[in-house]
Amino acid sequence: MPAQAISSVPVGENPIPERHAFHHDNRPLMAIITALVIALIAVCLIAFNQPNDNAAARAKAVKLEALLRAEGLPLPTSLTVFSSSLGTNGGVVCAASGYNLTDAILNQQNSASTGAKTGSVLPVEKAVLNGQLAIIQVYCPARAPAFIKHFGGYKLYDLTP
Amino acid sequence: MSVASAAVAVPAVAASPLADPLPVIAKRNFISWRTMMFMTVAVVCSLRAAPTMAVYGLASIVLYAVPAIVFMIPQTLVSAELASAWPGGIYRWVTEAYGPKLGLLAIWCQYAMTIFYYPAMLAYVASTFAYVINPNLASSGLFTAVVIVSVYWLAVLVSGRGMKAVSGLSSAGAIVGTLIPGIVLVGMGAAYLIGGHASAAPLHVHDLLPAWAGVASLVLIVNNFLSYSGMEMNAVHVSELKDPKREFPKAMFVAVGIIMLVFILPALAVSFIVPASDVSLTAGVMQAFTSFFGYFGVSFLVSPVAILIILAMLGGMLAWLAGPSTGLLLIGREQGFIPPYFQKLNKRGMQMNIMIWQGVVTSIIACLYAFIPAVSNAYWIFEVMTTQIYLIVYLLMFMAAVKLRADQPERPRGYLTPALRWMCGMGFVSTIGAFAIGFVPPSQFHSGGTLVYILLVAGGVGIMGPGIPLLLDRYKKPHWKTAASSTGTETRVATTIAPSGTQAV
Repeated sequence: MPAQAISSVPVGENPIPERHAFHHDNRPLMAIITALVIALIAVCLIAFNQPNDNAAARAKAVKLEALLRAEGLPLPTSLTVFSSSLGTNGGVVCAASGYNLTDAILNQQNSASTGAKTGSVLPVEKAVLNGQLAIIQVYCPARAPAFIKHFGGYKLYDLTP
Repeated sequence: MSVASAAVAVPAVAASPLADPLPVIAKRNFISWRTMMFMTVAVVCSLRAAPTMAVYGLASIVLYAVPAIVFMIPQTLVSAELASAWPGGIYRWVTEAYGPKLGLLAIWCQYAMTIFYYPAMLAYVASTFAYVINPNLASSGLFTAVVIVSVYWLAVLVSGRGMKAVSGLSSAGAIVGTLIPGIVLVGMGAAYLIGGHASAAPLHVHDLLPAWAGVASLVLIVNNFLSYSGMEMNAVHVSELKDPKREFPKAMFVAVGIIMLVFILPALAVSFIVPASDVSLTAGVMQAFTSFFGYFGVSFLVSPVAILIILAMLGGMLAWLAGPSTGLLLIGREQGFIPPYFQKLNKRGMQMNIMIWQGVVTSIIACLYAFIPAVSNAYWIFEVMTTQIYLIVYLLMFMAAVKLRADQPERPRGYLTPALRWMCGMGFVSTIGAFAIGFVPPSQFHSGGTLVYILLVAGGVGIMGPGIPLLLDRYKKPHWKTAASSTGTETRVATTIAPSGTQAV
């Protein structure tokens, strides 16, 4: 489609007439992106290392539940919630704790943990931060001092019902 | 996602001596109202928020509903009225009401929000991706920087394919990455309750209200106003609709309903199963999804859901990439605020030079973020500053709506906001409240007292907010104007594109 066919649309009604100067087909782009997404999902399905929910994982989950109960923190209705996600080694929580970037992301999450696009101030939830500390203490206690050092000074709030 | 095509009779180029004097029939591509609606959903919400709001259980309903009533509904109704009368989005509305300088401030503030948004959002994408392929990568600066930079430039490349591609992909992202996984989550949550299982979150009537902890509770509610920011952003593309006066308000109203459902229902579903103590924010919200799916014995769903959530976030990012930069382009062309180099378009009418230079800035920020601990640790404060700057957009929008209703009552509007003054008053006061809360030092701030924090945020807001538009206004050149001003006229024609499209980059 030649450009001159379009470009006299009044500016006020169509501020960028150039956007309509060419009729283009985006199906190839859509097909490439769809294929890419399917390939990514396939790779991730293979790569995702799902924690083992076995007797040892259950034993750790029992310890975590006891610690949370002692701290007065919220509990799941089933230990499967812990054992299936934390396994025997704390899963991703222990893999990620204590590093600069992951701590930075935690800070960002604390400042924008609602649906907000960007940050604002948000009270840091006692249940969330202490819950994570409890997980670290049970599954990877060596990382607890670094976690406490980074987040220990935070003022925590309990706004959960 | 469909893009309607229609044969539109348009006269040949009037401003060009080379124009064909005979009318021609051009096949123009329109965005359907559904696409506009899904683009708005993509811009405003994602499932990313579900586990973190699940912490509040039933109270998340109130935490989302109150800000929706006092902020989202005024914002939606007002932008629906303004977009149904004046195409071009926020810059045009504010320019109509208060002149081009404040119009520039409005669009700059919207654009500035994205400067620090992209690196943070893409860092989050990197950590989510790392979660499913190798959690140790989440702490790798190199991995994070590579993901941020490569995904951003890929998005620029895709944006260069035109608005049809942007709108198609962002609305596809909303459907595939937000609505479908959202329905799965809600379905599983409902099945859990119907199956007679006890909920991890208490479900009594009094649990609808969050626990009262003074200012902190207020902060929590006011912070949620920002969940709904961006409803007005896609108005810049209103000219892409076939019947903007009717279709834009319709798209906005349907989007409001979907956004509310997407925010509230998945959060509730997660809260039934995952307690607040298992929402590990360091590991990203995928930890909560792992617990959720693990309970049902379908942990294999974690990977697809992670990719789909990433897809939805990238869809939203595409819309953000194309929106404010289009507004900046428009006011730059009409008022000469930006040099012609930045006004150049590619052959699909996209402002590639603006996006490319923003990409350069984003890449630099991303590398600083990923490799310098002091920057990544303090990054949240830049986000606070840009959020404050973004709130200025809403203050200007609510003021402009009232002024335009008074000054130009005869202007045809496709939709009239009921009780406009009250709506704008409520939205304005809410925005002021959110702005004031932004100056309260959060737990993360250890480097000084309240005054230091206020000065820091105010300084950042002053420099990145009004500071840069003042410079652009100071150094603007009359000969940089490459389009007739749309303000106050509907009869002028574009004079900037040569018949052969020689302005293409």
